[in-house]
Amino acid sequence: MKIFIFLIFVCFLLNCDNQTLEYSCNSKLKDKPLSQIRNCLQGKWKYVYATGGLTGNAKFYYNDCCFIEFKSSDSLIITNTSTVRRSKIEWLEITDQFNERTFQMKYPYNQGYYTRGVWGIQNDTLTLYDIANDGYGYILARSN
Amino acid sequence: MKFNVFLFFLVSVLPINGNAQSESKLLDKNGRILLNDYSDDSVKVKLTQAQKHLRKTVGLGVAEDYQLLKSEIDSRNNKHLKYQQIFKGIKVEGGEFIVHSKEDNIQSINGRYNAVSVIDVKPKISEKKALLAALGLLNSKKYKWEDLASERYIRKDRRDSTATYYPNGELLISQSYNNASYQLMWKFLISSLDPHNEYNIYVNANTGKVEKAEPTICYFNAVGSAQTRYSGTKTITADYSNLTYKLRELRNGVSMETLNTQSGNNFLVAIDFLDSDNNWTAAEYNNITFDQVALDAHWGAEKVLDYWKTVHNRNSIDGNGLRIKSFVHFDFFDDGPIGDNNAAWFPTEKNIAYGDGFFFSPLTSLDVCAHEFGHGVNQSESNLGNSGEPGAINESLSDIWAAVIEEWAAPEKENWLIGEDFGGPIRSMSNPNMFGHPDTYGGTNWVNTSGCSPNISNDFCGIHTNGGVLNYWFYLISVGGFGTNDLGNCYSVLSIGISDAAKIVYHAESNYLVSSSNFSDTRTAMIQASKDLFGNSSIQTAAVTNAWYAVGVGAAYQGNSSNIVGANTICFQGDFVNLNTGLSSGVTWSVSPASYFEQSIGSGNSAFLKPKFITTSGKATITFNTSSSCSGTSTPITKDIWIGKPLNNFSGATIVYPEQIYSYRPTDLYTDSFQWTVYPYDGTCQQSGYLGNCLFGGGLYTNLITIWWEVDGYIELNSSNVCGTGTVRRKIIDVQGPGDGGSCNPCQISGVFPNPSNSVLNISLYGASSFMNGKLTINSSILLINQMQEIVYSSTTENSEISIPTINLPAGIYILKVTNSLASETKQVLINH
Repeated sequence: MKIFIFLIFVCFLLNCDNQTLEYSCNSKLKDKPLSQIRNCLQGKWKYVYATGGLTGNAKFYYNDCCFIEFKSSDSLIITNTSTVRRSKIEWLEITDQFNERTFQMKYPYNQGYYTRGVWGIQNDTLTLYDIANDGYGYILARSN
Repeated sequence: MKFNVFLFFLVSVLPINGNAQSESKLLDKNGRILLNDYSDDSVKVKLTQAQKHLRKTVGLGVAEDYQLLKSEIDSRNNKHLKYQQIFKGIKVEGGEFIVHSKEDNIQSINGRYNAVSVIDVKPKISEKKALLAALGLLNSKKYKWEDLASERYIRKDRRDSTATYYPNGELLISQSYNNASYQLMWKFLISSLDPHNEYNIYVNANTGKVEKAEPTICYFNAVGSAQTRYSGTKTITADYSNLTYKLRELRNGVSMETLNTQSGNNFLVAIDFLDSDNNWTAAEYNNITFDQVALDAHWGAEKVLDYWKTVHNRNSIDGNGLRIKSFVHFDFFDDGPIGDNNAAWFPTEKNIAYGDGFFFSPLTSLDVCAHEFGHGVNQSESNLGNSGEPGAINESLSDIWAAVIEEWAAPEKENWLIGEDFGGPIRSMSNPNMFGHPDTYGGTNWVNTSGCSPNISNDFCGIHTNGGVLNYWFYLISVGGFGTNDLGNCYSVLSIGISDAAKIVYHAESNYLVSSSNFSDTRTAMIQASKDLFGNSSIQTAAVTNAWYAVGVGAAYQGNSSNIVGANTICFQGDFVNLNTGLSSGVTWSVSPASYFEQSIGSGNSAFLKPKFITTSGKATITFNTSSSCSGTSTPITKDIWIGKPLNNFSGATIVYPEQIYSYRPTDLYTDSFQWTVYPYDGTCQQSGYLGNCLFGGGLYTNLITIWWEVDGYIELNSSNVCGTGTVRRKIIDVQGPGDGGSCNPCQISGVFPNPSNSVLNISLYGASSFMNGKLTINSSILLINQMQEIVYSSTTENSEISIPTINLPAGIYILKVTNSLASETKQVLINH
C-alpha cells in the first residue's frame, strides 16, 4: 500500500499527463474529442495555402503573410502582415458535409466570423476546412 | 436615392435627440432610458455589476428584473451582454437591454424598457383554449404538424426526435399594437402548409381574444428588371418596402433573399442590396465591387426555385419550404490570398455563398447557382457524402442540375460546360477528358478510390474529378452517342432527351440513392428509376443501361425481346425503327423483303423505312448487324414488323369432324381486332360458337369452333390494325360425314361446261327427286375453291342452271362444290385464259 501511494505521489510530482499518453496529435482529428482537438491545435501556425473549391484543385498561396496562434482557453491570435488580432474560439458540434459529427470552430474576425473544421495534423502540417460543399481546405505549417 | 434615405433617417432621429438630456444619454418620450454612454469614463462600473446597474439605471419596479439572454465577444475582445426584461418571471416582449463593455468596465447600455400594467400573471385562458382561438383565425386547410413529411423534416433538421411543428404556447407580456398597454398573452408560432404561411399569433390570456397576428414571411413582391452580368437583362422580383427595393421576395410560397456579406463572412450581419426604382441597371451595379453579380445570383436563385417547383413540384430546395439565402461578396480567406473565386453550399446554415473574383469573375452564373443549390437538394434527399465515390456522385449530381436548369431556364446557354460564363469553363460534361477528368470508370484520369484516404490535398479522393464519369453518363443519355470507352468497349447510346434524363436522375436521387452509394449502386438506382418511370423494356431503360456500359459500369442492355425498337406496324412513309443496343459503330441495316420498300435507310442507331405502295401488305424483317472490330463477332438482331393493312390470313383445319374443337389463328402480325364469322351452307344460324352459326364474334388469336352436325360451310376472318381494316378472307370447312369420301348418292351436278373454262363456267344441277318446273325444291350452295382452299366464289340457288364468271379468276385448277340438305358433291374444273 505504501508503495502504491508512493507511486501516485511520484507520478504527481512528475506531472504525469494521462492524455498525452492516450493519443497522438499526428493524426486525423475531426473525429476526435474536443479536448484532444484543442490540445493538439495549441501553438503557432503559418498559413501556407488554401486548396479545393468548386474546381476541386484551386490553390491559393498565402506567401508567408498570415499566422494563427491557438492559445489555451480557446483564445486566438491572428497575425497578418499589418495587423494582429485577438479572438476567441466558440466550439459547436455539428454534422459536416461528410455526414460526420465533428467540432466546428467559430471565431470572430474582421467583419464577421470564420467557421472551420479541424481535419488533422500530419508531420507538423495542420489542415483546416470549410464546413461547405465546394469549400476550401487550408494547409498550415507549424511555426516557431 | 441613398442620399434621400439618409435625409429620412436624420429627420426620424432628430426628435429623439431633442429629448436627450446630454450627449451621452438618450431617453424615450416617457423619460425612460434608451441609451447611456460612459465611454468618456465619466462613470466606471464593473461588468460584473451589469444586472444591478441596469435595474437601477432603467428604474425597474419590485416585480421586474432582467435575465441574461446571451453574451458575445466581438473582434476587439469587448463583451456585450444582452438582457431580457421580465415581470414576475414572465418575459416582457421587446423589453431588452444590451450592456457593452471594454476591459471589463461598462461602456454603454442601450435598449428599451416597457412599462407593464399587468398585475396577475396567472392566465385565465388555458393554452389549449388559446390555441383553438389562434387556429380559428387562420383556418388553414392543412397545418405542418398534420403532414408526416413536414414532421419528419423538422425532427431531422433539428436532430431532435421530439421536435414538431405543433405550436407550443409561450406565455408572455406583449402589446396588441403600438402604444397599447402590455397584456398577458399566449403566443403561438403556427406553420401552415395549405396555404403556405407562418404567423405568430397572440391570444389574450385573460379574455381569449386574438390580439394580433404577425406574418413571419412578409414581402411585398414587385416585378422589376435586372441587367445581369452573365445572362443579359432579366425580369426579377424584388421586395418593395420603405420606399426602396431589396433583392428579397416571396416566390412559390418560399421566401428568397440575396444579401451582401461585404467581403466578410458573417451571414448574420449581411446587408441588403438596394435600388430606388426596381430597374437594376449595369450602370448602377457594374461597379468596382462587382455588385452586378448579385443580380445574377438573385435571378439564378429564382430560376432554380422555379425549376424545382414547376418540373418536380418540389417545395424549395429541401422540399419543405426552406428559405433561400444567397450571399454575395463572401470572403473565404481570412486576410489571406486574393482570389475568393469560389461558391459553396453551407450544409449547416443551408445557404450558398459566392466569393469575389480575381482569376475569374465572381461565380454567380446560373450553372454554378444551380450546382450549389443541387448540393442542398442532395442534403435533403440521398445525403451523399463528400468523399470517395459518394462524393464524386454528389458533385456530379450538382453538375447535372446545373446543365438541366440551364437548359430549362436559358437553353441558349446550354453547352454542357460548367463555368463558361465567369471565365472558365472548369468542366465539360460532353468531354470530361478536356479538363483532366475521366469519362470512364477506372479509365484515363480516374482517381483511384480503392484504398484512398480522403484529404484536402487529394480533393477527398477526387470528387471533382471522378464526377466526370456520371457527368458523361448523363450527357450520353440526354443526347446519345457511340464510341469506344477507355476499357475498349464499344458502345452506342440512344438519346432520350434531357427532360426524361432529369426525371430519372431525380427519381433515383430522391428514392434510391443513399449516403454511401458508389457508382455501381448509382447504376442500379438509375436503372430502377427508369423502370419505375418508363418501364422495363423501354427505350429509356435501355439507354440508361447502355450509357452505364459506355462509362465502364456494368453490362450493356440485354433486352429479352428485340433490341430494335420502334413502330410494329408501318402504314405510310415516315415511320422509324430505332436501334437500342450496346453494340458499336460499323453497323449495317437490312430489311426483307426489300421489294416492299421504296426507301430503307439505316445508319448508326436508327433506320428509316418507307413502303413502296400504299397498298403493300405483309410481314417484313429488319436486321441490324455490326462489323466493328472491337466488338468481336456479333449476333444479328432482328425485328419483325408488319406493313399496311392485315391480309386476314389465318391457320386452322379445313377438314373437320363433328363434335370436335378446332382452333383458328390469324397469321398476320400486330392485328388488333378480329371478327370471325362462320357460314353454314344451309343458311341456318344456330347456337353461338358452332358451325351452323352465322357470326360468333371477335377474339384475339385463338378461336374455337365445334362442329355438331354434318353441315359444311366456311369460316371467314375480318381484322384490322393501325393502318385500317383488311380484305375479308374465307376458308371452306368440309365437315366429314356420310356424304363425304365416296361417289355421290344422290349426285347433284349434271354438267359443267366448258371445262376448261375461259370467261364463264356453266353448271347444270339436278335433285334426285326434287326437280320441279326447272327448279330444285331445296337450296343448294355453290362454291368454287382454289388450290389454297380459298373460296373464290359462293352463292346459293334454287335454279337448275347457273353461270359463274371466271374471267377475273387466275388460271388454275379449282374445285366446284355443290351442297344441299340431301348431299354434297365436288368436281374439279380448270380455268384457262
